[in-house]
Amino acid sequence: MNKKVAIMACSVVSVYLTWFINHNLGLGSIIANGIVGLIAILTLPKDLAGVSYTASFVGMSSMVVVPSILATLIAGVLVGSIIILTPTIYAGVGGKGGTTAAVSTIISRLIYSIIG
Amino acid sequence: MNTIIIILVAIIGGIVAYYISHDLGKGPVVGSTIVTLGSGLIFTGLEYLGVPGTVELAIVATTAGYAGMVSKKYVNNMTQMVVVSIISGVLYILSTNLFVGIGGRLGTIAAVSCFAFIGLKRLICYKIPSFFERDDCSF
Repeated sequence: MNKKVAIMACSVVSVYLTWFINHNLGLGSIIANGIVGLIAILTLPKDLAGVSYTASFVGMSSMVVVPSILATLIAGVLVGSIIILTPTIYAGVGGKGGTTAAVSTIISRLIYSIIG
Repeated sequence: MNTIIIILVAIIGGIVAYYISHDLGKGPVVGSTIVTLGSGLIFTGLEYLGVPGTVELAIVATTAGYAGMVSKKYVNNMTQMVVVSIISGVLYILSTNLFVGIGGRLGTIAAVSCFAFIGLKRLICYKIPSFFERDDCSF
């Protein structure tokens, strides 16, 4: 249970932090992803660093796709949920995290367009 | 941007991530992060210095860096990683206008590259079993 809460927290914080560095600080998505990944590997255990890095991909989205803090929150919860639900699927395939992030981003965009 | 430069950058991004991840034993997140941050800083810096089009190369290196997170179970050595990186570079070129702005797009390209390589390897293992060493086909 605590592990799931930690995954969810890491996901939400990571998405927001990447989005903030990307758009508010204007450093761009690649550097934002790199900074969040670096913070994650320096401060978190290995598995949670992986979760944070995966969630960070969502924050690389453009303003059109993830336009607000609420959208980052929705996307963060979604990517956290998908990570919790799919730990073993395609484990070890490079890009699994990115695919998880892309699915989360597309679903959260749909949800945000309904409620936003 | 020149196709050959894109492919070369993809190869470098992929093998650096793979090397840090497996040969240095730092793990896939560290390997990919170093490639992402390094390429982001280098190529963005070059763009600021007046070299046009280099930001795209950062994206290419990052995509290959994500592919470099692949497990040794599927990609056994550096030569195979070069092939995965080339596939990711080609797919990047082919998918330039697809899903632009969607977070995870580059990772998805990396995943497709890895799946394409794994499929190709399975096919070769099936048709020409002597092509790879025995352990390479045990995935």
